[in-house]
Amino acid sequence: MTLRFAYQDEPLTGPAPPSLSKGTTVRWRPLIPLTIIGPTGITRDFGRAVFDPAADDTVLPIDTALRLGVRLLAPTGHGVRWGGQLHALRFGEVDLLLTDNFTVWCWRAVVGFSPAPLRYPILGQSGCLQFIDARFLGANLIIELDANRHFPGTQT
Amino acid sequence: MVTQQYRQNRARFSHADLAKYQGMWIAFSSDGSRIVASAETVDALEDQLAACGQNAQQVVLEWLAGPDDDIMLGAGESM
Repeated sequence: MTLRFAYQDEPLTGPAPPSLSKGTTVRWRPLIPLTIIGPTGITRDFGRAVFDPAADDTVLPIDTALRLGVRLLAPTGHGVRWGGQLHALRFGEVDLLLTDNFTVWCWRAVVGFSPAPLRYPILGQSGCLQFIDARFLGANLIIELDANRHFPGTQT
Repeated sequence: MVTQQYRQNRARFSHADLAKYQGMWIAFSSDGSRIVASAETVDALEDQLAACGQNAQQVVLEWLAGPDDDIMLGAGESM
């Protein structure tokens, strides 16, 4: 049950850098919709979470944890440096849901929550990519996802 | 859950339509047809939704790239 998502565009606000074709007006990024489900079933839908194989953890806004009633684990002393500033990282368990409107994946994971001004929820190795084999189809601007043998959730 | 209808309607917003929201968080209606609220942070956006009686479970939250975000370096930015 492969999930497929088209990359999503963000407009360039200035001239295209030399690394892009002249006249390019948008960036295409592997941004996918993400639903976060808290322990009591309260949800938040994010239209654009970023798939980031270089991110060690899945990190979400800490405000979302508070709104969803996520029971945060005791502080562990971990943090993330964002924009040159160190921000605390707390951890808690949520359900993550991905769907391309044909297939729905849902799994429970311990993820990080931070007050850092995240631009997108980050889907990193722990909590997400560890369970997924991802293909970034750069020519077609599509990301394809297959659950691997470690995937702990459901596919419907 | 983000629906197909959301994707279709959201795609109808032009970049010009969204220009004034660059660098901000936006709450779109669940069908993607309108912008319900906008703010600089997720928390402020949630407060706005609550203030206008909008159920935050019935919107889709998005951040739109701002003037300083033409080049992003992924996790490297958090180092």
